[in-house]
Amino acid sequence: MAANDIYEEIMQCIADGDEDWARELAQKGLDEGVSPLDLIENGFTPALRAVGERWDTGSIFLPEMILSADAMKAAVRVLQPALQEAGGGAHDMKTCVVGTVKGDIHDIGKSIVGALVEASGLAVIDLGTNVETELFVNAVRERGSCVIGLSALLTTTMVEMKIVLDELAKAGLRNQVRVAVGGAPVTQAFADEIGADGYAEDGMSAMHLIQELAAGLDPAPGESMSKVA
Amino acid sequence: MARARMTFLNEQEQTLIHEQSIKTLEKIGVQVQSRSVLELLEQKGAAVDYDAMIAKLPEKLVNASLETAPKEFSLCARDPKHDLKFPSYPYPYATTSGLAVKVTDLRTGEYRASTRKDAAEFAKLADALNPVDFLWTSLTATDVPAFAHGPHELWATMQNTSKHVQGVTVQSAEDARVQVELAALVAGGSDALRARPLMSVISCPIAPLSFERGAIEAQVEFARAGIPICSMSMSMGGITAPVTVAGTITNANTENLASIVITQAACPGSPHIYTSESAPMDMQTGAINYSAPEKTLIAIGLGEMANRYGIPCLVSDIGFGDETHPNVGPFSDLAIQIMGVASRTDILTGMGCVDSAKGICFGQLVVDAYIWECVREFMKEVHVTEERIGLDAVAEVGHAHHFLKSKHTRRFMRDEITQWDPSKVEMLSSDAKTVIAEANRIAEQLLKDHQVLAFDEDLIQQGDEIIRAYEGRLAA
Ligand code: B12
Repeated sequence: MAANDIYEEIMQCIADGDEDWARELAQKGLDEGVSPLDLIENGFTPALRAVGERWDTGSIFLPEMILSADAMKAAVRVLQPALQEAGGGAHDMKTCVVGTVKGDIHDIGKSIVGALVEASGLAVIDLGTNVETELFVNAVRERGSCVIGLSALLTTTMVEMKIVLDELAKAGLRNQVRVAVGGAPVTQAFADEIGADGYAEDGMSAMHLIQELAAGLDPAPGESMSKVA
Repeated sequence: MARARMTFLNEQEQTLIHEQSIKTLEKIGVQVQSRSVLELLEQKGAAVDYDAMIAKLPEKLVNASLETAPKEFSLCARDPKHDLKFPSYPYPYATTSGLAVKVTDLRTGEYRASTRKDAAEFAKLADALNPVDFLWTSLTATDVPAFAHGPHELWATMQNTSKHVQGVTVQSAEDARVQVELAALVAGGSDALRARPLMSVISCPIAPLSFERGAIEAQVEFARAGIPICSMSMSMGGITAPVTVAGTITNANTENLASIVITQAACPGSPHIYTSESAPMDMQTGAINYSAPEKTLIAIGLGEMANRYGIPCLVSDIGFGDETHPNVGPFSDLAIQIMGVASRTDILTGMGCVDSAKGICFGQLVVDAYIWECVREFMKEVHVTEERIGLDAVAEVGHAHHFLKSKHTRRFMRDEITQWDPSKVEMLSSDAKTVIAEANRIAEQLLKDHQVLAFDEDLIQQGDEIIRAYEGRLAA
């Protein structure tokens, strides 16, 4: 059957981390009349999950995992318009906004967390490093309900996390979001103190934490993916 | 005179790395996120794109900078007996780690956020330990206003040692001016400080090939005050540099060359130390893999590059903690660090560090100092002369006899054959629990007994006032 063939190809292409091929396969699937939701749920998502498992057990390396996640992202972009047209499913894909707080240019930990969260099936918006507080607030305004992952590697910039939380509260957005924090000097105690919703020490636990926090978000259909498109 | 050193890159390989660095600087350029520093570079002949904040540095400029960068200078100390002359000989100088955010409390064993008091106390311990040649600002003062923590840490450290102090953090040009003011106070004015720099600084590029505004404007400020700069490239193979050993070496080399150009543009002749803390990433987690054998290869290669330029360097580590309490460390760290100390480095950093440089532990400093005291003997100076070879003695002893009673033996045995301090070797060879107990006991004893060379009360007040005024300016 055509659909089965294409799922096998998707499996392979995500394992290879081949963006171009992923785009082609997404288009080919649509052309052959497979529903975009099926392509995601039975094709790309299980393929990426398989890659994640291999990474978890140490049989592939982080750069391979990240390439696979990027290939998936590329495919989803191709499927997006069709998904919206169909009006169903993936637009309640939960979003996670990540960024390193103002004054801090440590990039690596935040980017790894972003890649892993993306691989776990959330939509990720990476605001980069040295991110002005306002940009986090704006992202929530645009996206609506989401998880925010704040990273800080310096004792001087940890305080910025509290400021982001305060500003979200001031803007009346605090209860629409779940905020996770991390980075070398950050601790669970600090997270509690500033009223964040969670803390994780490394990439894997960060991914699980953010998945959990995302699961706790109110499903806000029509508020996430579709709104920005 | 003979001195054991690792060799790694041959002449041709070094030349290739140099040429690729020059090509990078000329064709790709470096990003400098500061308009004033870009202007400075443009004046010196760089091609600058102000929108992208990229400076392309011509080979001529790099060569001229390498020429004006001094090959010999000293990092000076409050007590001149602790002055450090470069190039180092025969041993590299060893310093403490920094700038950790946590400390293992010496009394309770709790691993907690560090304070200014911890920074002061740790400096005192480093002052007491002979094998520690100078100090980094090792611990973050998390109990002072965050924007002023650098000056606080420098000041607390300087008061508690008569050795040289290298600052690890600076946030802006103004922060740099405050730190210089503090050091000048101790040196007896800014000219005296220039003549005898009692402090130096670590200044990090952002790999790959980028310089952050606060750090680079501070670097210019320091260079103008005659403060030696360590341009610490933290190239992480696979993440912020090409994954290969040669690619990581080249990236770190390029960043160092660019940084030397900036120092020399700011103030020709200002001392600069070629510095790297580079390693591959951990392929699974993306963290820095300080236990990879390639880290040592990168260090040895970079030491050779620095030697080729004739610039003093800091490219290797000595510090074995991986827990949060004193320990001799895992086999992998011991192996790669002991190889690494024999690179051509002039400085080794890392003493007292635990938990991937995130923490500092008093007892760990004792352990690392003891290990260094033993290990450095591999690098001691060995004289190879006819007298030392001793053919006269060989003739005198004759065939199939022994040298036990030979004058040659008596003459040279003490000088030539290392006697490791048995109590230290025993401590280091004990089980984990004994190491912890002993290292902590020794640390406490030293802190109790040691007297730091007195620091003028007046100076303390003046320095405190400088910091208070700075805090006031920033708060306003
Ligand atoms: C690499 C590095 C740099 C690089 C960064 C390169 C880059 N492109 O990011 C460079 C050289 C630029 C740099 C600069 C500086 N650094 Co730095 N740096 C480090 C170092 C060695 C490793 C950081 C890293 O990338 N780790 C690898 C990643 C994978 O780990 P991670 O970031 O911790 O992230 C993991 C977890 O924390 C967690 N996580 C991270 N973010 C998030 C977010 C969420 C939501 C969650 C849930 C989890 C999570 O998951 C991640 C994946 O496992 C640390 C020491 C350390 N061991 O952490 C110092 C360190 C953070 N730096 C330090 C310092 C002092 C500086 C400088 C001031 C140095 C200087 N003199 O110029 C500047 C500051 C620049 C600035 N304004 O930000 C100090 C901080 C001390 C302090 N008091 O705050 C440290 C602790 C080193 C030390 N002991 O001195 N640094």
